[in-house]
Amino acid sequence: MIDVNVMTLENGKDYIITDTIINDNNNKYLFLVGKLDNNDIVIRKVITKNDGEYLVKLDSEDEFEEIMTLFGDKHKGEKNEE
Amino acid sequence: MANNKTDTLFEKINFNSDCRNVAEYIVKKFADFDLEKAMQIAKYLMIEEKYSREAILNGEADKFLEKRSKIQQIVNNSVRQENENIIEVKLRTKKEKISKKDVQKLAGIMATLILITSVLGVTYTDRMNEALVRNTSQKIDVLASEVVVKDEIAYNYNELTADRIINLCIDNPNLFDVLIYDSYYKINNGHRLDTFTEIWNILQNRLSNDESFEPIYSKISNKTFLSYVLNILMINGKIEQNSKEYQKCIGLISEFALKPSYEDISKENRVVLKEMLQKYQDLGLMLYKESNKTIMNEVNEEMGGRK
Repeated sequence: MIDVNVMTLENGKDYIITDTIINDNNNKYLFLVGKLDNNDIVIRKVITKNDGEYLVKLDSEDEFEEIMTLFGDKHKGEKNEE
Repeated sequence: MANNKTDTLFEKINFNSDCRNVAEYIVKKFADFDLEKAMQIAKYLMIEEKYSREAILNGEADKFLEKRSKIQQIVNNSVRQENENIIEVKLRTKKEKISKKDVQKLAGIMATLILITSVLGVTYTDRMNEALVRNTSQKIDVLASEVVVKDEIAYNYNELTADRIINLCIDNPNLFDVLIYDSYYKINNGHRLDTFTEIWNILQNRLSNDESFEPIYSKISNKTFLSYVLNILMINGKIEQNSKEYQKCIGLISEFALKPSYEDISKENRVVLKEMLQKYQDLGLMLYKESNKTIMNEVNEEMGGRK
């Protein structure tokens, strides 16, 4: 058995944190996979407030693209050929 | 008569029609896409990936579309919609234990995610437009700004007012052909008749005293213009839909779209055109104002020099 971090999102579902990406502006993003439905993949941005860290949706598809590109770069070489 | 222009128009019409077919297939098969997104993807597949319409409809691009659909699901789950409130969820994690089998499953999901990033570029309008400008300018001879406007016409069609369409045409005279095609497409599908009736009215009102229409006229081929006017007559109910005359008009428009000049038009359709010009004075007026050397002149010559 292996330990993983799990959190509950606004839709009430539990997600496993599978990866973290930090962009050039030092924003942190989490890649989350549904605990019960592994096809349910979401990305959330971490924002910091006085009382701790919060997750919010991304503002735009451009931001999404940036994060997915960083994700692809981070895992370069791990890509399986079809 | 501008042969190349007509060929280009015809190619544009075919291309746009194929894109719509493909987009409708994509929306039907992959529920994650809306029509706008599907149009972008259809253009991408046909221009960048060189798929034919038939190949896509036969499922040959399905593997690509499955990846792209997966990306779209993640976009839909991750990106806040325009009118959606910002919801902040406190980051509270709990440790849980999962089996090695589940870990392997997660690793598989990450590998899939890495793999599907290869189709990322299809999501984004800017990149799509760059690709379209780069390729389309070679293929169907349109300018960068026109791609954007064409997209507005194609994707936000139902939001466009007659005034906006007219102004788009004034700013981008080359787009008139596309607009005509769209009007034709929509007419045949029973949409936006009101808008095009309105456009017709605006055109008529501005025809004689609005200089901003000059660039439009200088860019429109006679055949295109004729098609447009005939379409407008059909919209306005001057030519009743599915009547014998309507069918004749369709035949005339179709032949004009294909043949390089008036001389190449069949005798039968020359007769139809003559009938139309005699019956509908608006048509003759519009064509005559368009330039000194118009179909009208040619028809006049044909009819023995009578104006």
